[in-house]
Amino acid sequence: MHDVPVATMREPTYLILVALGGGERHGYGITQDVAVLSEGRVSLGAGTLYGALDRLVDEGLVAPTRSETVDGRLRRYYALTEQGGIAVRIETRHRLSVARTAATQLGIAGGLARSWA
Amino acid sequence: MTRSAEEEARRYLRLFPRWMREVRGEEAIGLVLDQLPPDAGRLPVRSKVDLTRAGLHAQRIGRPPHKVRRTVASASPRSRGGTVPPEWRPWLLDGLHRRSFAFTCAMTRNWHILVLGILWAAPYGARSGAGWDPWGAVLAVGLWILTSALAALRVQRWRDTLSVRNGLRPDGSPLPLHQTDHYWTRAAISNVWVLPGLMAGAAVHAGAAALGWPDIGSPGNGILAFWLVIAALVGAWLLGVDRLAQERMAPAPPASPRLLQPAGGGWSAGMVIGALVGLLAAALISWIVGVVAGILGLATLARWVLCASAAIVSVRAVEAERRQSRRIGLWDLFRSTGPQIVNWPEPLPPPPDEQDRPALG
Repeated sequence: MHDVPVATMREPTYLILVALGGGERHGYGITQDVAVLSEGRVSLGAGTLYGALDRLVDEGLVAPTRSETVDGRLRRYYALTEQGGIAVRIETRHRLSVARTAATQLGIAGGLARSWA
Repeated sequence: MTRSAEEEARRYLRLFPRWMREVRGEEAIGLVLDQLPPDAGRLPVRSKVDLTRAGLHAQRIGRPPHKVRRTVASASPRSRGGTVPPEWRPWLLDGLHRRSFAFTCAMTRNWHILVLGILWAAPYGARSGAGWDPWGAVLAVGLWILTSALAALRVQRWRDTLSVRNGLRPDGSPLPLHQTDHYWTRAAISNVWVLPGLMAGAAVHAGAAALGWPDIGSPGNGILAFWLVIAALVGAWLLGVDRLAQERMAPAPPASPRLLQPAGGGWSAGMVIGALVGLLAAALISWIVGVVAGILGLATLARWVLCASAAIVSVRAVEAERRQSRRIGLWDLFRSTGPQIVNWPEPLPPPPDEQDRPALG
């Protein structure tokens, strides 16, 4: 189905995919979404973002959809491919499972961990 | 933001590979500028660090493995090399029309000139008593650079070959896949020079000693000869493995009209091995001669045996080449270092007419 090593997906990669899960975004939109999703912990620079996007496009998880020029600056929009959607869902499920187990084991938030199930 | 911030961002963008700059450069600049506060006149340190780190990372991962670089460097209309995996085609396209790329590829292709030059320089240095001739090595390096520079001036056929073998028209536009497969040419093995080169180097060592260059029999030169032969053997083996890796990387050629068995055989391989063993023996005996002078006659005899073996193997190689109407290489003689069967697809067909080409998707 896909050959994405979901277990080793790094935080910025995962956040980029999640950001694109909300629909197509251009580079600046992705960085903004990633900052919100990570509550300000992850702030992507242009180099990191386009390095990651380039890899994700090569892996077939993300595809450019259209481009436009705003104030003389090129903006290219990206969206998840079907494969990318599957990969980010699997990764999310995996992370949820780990978080649930961790919350139960650490006794965090009482029965909250069970209520997620 | 000001113009200087944009210029600064563009400067940092030069750290990225050129193909990446062309594909993503403009949007990356746009993002860098979008992220700046409205009154910022310069790039913040954080952006500079990010661009530098990402640029160096992109340079590192944007460099293809050795086998890809080798196949590009060795591509020629008469060989099968030159097809790179799709993920490296942007890298190839980036370099294909640059003279510096052609020059570095020619240097990779011509490495045997450097190696053989240095191998040949050794006995002359030994004769002069220096043990190693630095000027011979300098000459070898100079010759290597000069021949590579000359090759880089005549690259049109090399570019055309690379273009069609990677599904590209000479102008860079993609060829339909079904046409790409048919652009294979005959399977020639271009390392034909290895065997005669190696044998000639060995023969010079042996001949120099047999003709009375006394210094070559000294312990130091015996050890030098020994290690040169070991290096040559390892190099030849690596070359065979490298070529095999390139063969495996390339897509399968279309159904072959005929299959050719390796040209050599046990006898030829035995002669090569015998010759090399003879050289090793000669080198070791030379080393011993420094201690036991009475073995000098035996050492001379071993060297003449080596000369004869080298001549016989070279003649066999030429014979086999003529019989099979194709070039042969070391792996024909050492079966374990190369493919057992060489495919020989149809010759290069004439380019299709423009009106016959399907529309590009």
